[in-house]
Amino acid sequence: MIKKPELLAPAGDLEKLKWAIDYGANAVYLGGENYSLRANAKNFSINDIKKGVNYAHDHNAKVYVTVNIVFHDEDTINLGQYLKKLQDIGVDAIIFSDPLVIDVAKKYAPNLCLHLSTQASVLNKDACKYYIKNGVERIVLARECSKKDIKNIIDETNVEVECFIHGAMCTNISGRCILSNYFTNRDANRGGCCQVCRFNFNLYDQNNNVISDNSNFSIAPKDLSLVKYIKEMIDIGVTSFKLEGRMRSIYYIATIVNVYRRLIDMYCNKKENDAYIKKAIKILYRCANRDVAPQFFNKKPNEKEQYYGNRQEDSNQDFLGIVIGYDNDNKELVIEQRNFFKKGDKVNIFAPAIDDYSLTIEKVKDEKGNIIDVARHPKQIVRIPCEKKIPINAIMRVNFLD
Amino acid sequence: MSKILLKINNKDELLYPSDGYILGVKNFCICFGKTYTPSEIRKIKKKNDEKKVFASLNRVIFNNELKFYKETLKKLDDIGLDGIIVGDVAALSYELTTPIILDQLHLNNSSLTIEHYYNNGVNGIILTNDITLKETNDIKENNKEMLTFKQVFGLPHLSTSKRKLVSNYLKHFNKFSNGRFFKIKENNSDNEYIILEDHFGTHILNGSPINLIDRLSNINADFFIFDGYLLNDFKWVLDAFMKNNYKLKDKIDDTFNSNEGFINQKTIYKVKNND
Repeated sequence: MIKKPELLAPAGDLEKLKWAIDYGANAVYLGGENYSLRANAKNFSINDIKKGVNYAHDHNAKVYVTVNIVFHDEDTINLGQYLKKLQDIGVDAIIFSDPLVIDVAKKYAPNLCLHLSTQASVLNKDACKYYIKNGVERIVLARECSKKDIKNIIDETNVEVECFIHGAMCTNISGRCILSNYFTNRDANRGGCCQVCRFNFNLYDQNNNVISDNSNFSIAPKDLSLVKYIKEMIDIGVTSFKLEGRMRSIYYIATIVNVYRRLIDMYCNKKENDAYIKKAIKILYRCANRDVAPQFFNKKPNEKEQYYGNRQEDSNQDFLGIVIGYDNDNKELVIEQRNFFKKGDKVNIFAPAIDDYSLTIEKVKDEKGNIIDVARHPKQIVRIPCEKKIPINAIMRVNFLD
Repeated sequence: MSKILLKINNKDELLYPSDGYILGVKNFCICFGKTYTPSEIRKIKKKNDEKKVFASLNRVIFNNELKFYKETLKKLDDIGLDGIIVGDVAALSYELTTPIILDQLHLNNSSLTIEHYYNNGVNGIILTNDITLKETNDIKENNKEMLTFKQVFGLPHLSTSKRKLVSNYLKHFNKFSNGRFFKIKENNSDNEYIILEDHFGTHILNGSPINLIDRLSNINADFFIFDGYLLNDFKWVLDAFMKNNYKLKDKIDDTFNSNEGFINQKTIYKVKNND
């Protein structure tokens, strides 16, 4: 019997939380206004967390709250009360990296479930045992772990293991990097990371002879994607498949959750489909416009898994609109526009409950039914003919698949 | 009175004045110019019995290294060292009798964190190089039984990657260069950083050393770490530190372009108002 893993998605705000859950995430992780490693994101107030928990639980999903900074003394002052509030709200777990959280939680919120963040850079079973002894129920392994490492850790410790499967990743061992502190005074381990690993540099030898050309030295890694290894991850018993991207758009969240939901279900239902895997790879690449690699999962990354000072991503205008209604009488989709589209464009529509649906836009009407040339305004409400009834909150994108 | 420990990067440094040594353990340490096997460390300890001797395994450990790691720790445990410095909490489950000093580079910044480790068998902690004087002293004040170690001179560690970031670049562009280390600089910036590779991966250090010579009497720590890694002709600086000759601060700064790091500067992390 295959144990179906949890699909864990980022939730940058309440809206994204709902999109992630609606598109098939079994759980979401989010940051509160303090103690989270995305200090400059639009984080959740306690009230928002409560709303998020209620929404998730109503939809049979879980909420994990990141409390994953490396604390300084000044950060610890109200931590106990905060953890108690999280416990009272009913969050399903907190994700922490600093072990002081274990002690504070035991005192103020003993019923909180503790998940250890990847920021603690756990790479081996004996380190896992240290945290298990201290009451940790799940460990998010360091992204440098190989398949063999992950399997051995699961087999030997029986702890719940969570692994990142998709998204941007640190070049350096997580938590053990303060480049941001020295370059910009922004504290990497307290949520201020300015991502120095995405900067371009000039490289010199030790005698100050320049080696690089036009600042094309960078230490940036390509993004992580284990899209080709989902079956193996399921087989070795990983509990939770984690997607990176709390700062990403709803389009990104809906897209990657939708793809990985289908892949996980496909393997667990023993309905492997090579054509869909190929399609999934294409969708995931287009979604972020960054090259991806399995990184440490199947081998040590080499020169092919690193970026070299070139532009690493392009802006993406694939996200055309959100379906907000269907006019049964006229067989028309009502769309809230996100990016420019016009008559004759080939589009593709996806949603959790339907197979992807492609069509060519025959005409575009405004809200009052007048024919217009193009949908050019953000959030403009337009109508397009569509024979198939499409559920609301389906997403219309550029058809780059057919 | 705090003791000065010299991080040994070259065997000649074993002859330099200091209250003790930190020796890098072969295969398991990073950012040491010289590493030693347990049997070599045993000989050094025997020869320098009056000095404090610590062995350092200051990096994270991969799952497939555990067997050799544990064996190495057990060998070190028999030597009678003043402490074994570890970078991975795996070592805390091996019931070692030698005092354990935790060096997780940048992960131990608060009094409660250090209290947690003290309650879990750790005897000493190497503090990160990006906290202030007040934070350093508060940690000691709040954890009187825990030994604290603070780097007072040397190039501060900034990051460690498992990847070979420079070799990858050279290979990708079909370039060749060798040397002990490289340097990186941003356009329009005078700041320089050192980047180097070893058996583990790639490390980045600040290009300018920390120099806390005129803070020695203000820092409440049990041990001060002096590290000449990648620096030349620093013995006179070590002499100055041993004699607490703070009057040489400016001369040291002029010679090495050194600074006080974060000892008097807090990091920030909220740069946007999200209200």
